[in-house]
Amino acid sequence: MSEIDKDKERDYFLRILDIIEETVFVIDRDLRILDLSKGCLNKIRNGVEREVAIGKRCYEGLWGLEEICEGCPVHSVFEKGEAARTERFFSLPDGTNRYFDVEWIPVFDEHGEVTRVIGDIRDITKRKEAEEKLAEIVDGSSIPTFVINNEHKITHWNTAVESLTGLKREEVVGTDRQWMAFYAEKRPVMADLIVDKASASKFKDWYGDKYKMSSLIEGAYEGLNFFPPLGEEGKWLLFTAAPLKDSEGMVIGALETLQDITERKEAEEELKNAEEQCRTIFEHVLTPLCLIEEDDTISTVNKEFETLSGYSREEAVGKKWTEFVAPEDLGKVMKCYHNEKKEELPCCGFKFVGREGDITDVKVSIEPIPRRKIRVASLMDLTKLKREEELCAICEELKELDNMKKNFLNAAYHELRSPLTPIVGYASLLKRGELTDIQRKYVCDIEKYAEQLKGQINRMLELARINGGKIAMTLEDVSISAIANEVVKSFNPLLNDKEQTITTHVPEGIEVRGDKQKIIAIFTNLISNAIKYTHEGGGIDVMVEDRGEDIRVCVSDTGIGIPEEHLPKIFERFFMVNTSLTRKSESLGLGLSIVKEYVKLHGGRIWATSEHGKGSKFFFTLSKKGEISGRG
Amino acid sequence: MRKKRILIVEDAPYMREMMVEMLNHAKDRYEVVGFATNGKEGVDKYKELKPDLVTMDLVMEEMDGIQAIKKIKQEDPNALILVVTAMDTPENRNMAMDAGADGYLWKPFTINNLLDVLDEMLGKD
Repeated sequence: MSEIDKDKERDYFLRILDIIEETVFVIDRDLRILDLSKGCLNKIRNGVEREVAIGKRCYEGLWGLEEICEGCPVHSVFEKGEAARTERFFSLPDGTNRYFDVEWIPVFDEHGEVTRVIGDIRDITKRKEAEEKLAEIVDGSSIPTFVINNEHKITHWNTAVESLTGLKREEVVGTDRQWMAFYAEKRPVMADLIVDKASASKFKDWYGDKYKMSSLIEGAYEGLNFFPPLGEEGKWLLFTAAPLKDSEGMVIGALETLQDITERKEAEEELKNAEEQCRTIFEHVLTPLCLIEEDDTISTVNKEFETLSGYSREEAVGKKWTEFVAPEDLGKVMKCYHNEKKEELPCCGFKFVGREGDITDVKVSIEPIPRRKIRVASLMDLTKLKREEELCAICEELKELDNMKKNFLNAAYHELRSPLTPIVGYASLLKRGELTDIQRKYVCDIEKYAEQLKGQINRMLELARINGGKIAMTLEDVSISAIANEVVKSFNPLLNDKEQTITTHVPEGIEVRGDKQKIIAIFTNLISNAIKYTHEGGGIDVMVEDRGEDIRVCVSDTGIGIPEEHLPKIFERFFMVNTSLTRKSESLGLGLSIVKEYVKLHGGRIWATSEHGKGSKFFFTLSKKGEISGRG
Repeated sequence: MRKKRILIVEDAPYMREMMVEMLNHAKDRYEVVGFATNGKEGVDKYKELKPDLVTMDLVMEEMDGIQAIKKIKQEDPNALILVVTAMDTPENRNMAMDAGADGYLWKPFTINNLLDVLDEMLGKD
């Protein structure tokens, strides 16, 4: 290429540079300016002619300095052949302060030597000022805020975010450890995703449904989540991350702000609980309730209201309350509704009209709900109340009857026993005199049946007393084997008469804390029943089992048995399986019910099994500790 | 040996009659010196007759047996009182014991029951 051609090409090249207003210059190894674009002259050395600058060293020609700028990489660009970048602050001759970014690009000759370097200057004053402003805003903000650059390194970490996360600025600025503040494991925070220009699916991967695009800031995202590592019990954070862009719209970093909404969340939770509580009370209270809106329509009713009105919830809602009031009572209820008498709790009675036109006498109280334009009406079904009052009266009457019965039993006892006294007494006197054999038999019969009558009367009284809760327990340590053997022995004459055999399986040494006389009565009663209801020649067995906490006793016989349908009733007072038995066994049917009460007094249970015609088994338990089971 | 003097406090005439009949079988030891038909009369008769033993019914009009026992014991702590009643409940037993009764005989009773308890109570001196 000829020199003329070269000059032509250079002119052409310079014209292009001038047109695009780029700020470019070329220097040789001596740092002398070979060429420079008009942009350089206009933006930096305003007014200086190109010819004046060319040939001067770059620091002098461009910046008007006498020495090479400190830290300038240009020499190393010539040596190593690698491009470099510097940022520098410069006060222009017109007094303005500017930041420049200079990129140094080596130009190689055919031998691979760097003969020239192109300098590409960019004015970054605006960006620098924006960065400083940002730093000022971030650091001065009371909102926890941090900034990362496009290499995910933290550039700003303000005091508020320090106190929220507990991480100090010195620990994190310049690192990509922003995750440490919020998570137990390394993962991107929202600002990282913004810098990466992450897709919606990436956001979803990391935040699930706990994020959304910001409606206020373009390209920003908001999230709400609970962060267990924060504070002592974790914190709820509302966080927003927005991209930071340079003047050309390139993302150069991201800013994230955080808001601790734990208290708000807790308050919300409490409110929710309180609401739930109110709803539950409203629904389950045994009072018909409804809420009345300002326009007189009913907006909510509870289950009791449904029952009272006969309308389902869906049907009742939307109706005017006045529809439920009989026309003649409307004026009265209206006065109450508007609380014309200024009562503390306005209430009045009226005729409530149900779904089928049915009338119920009710009482209503209407109470405005504070700060809301609705009222709550609570109704009371007076007929139901009346019924309850009647029931109470019946209950009282029954109690009185019960008392009368007890008094009657007590009196009956005295009045029945007193006349027995001369019968028994004179019979004993008669026996002292001279009597024929038949007279003696008569007297003995009188004594025998008087004795029987006395037994029946005693049992009657005993039950009356148990029923009245009047039984006193004399507690002592009772040997069960001693009692069982003693009772069995007392029946020996009777057993011999009926040619029955009795076997016992009673371990020695079992003691129960209880009332000895009552335990004897239990054994006596059950064994005497077994003998009574077992045919001649039959067998009876008494078995005692030590079960640790309690003992279990089984009295079994080979007697007539009890029909299955009667088993649940045999411990009831006056119950007898059939009348023919009654006559034969000469009983009032009080025995087993007394036994049951005695067993209960010893913290035990009694039951029976039986096969009709083959025999019965009576079981009972006695607590060893002398625990008295509760009586009404 | 001196016959023991007995006061019978009992509202039922047939009971008084029968007790006299029974005691007639032990004429050598016992002598009925008087009767009272209620507690108040019993107390008065006790003061008047100073018997060796009082048989005391519990259920009586005017003044019941428990009150009468207390009054008599107040008058004479050494008085011997035998309760004779049909109400043999633990409560009555306790009440009579607290009032100061010395013995109990439950109705109905035979002649042997009566004489046994009297012999036991009065044979001691």
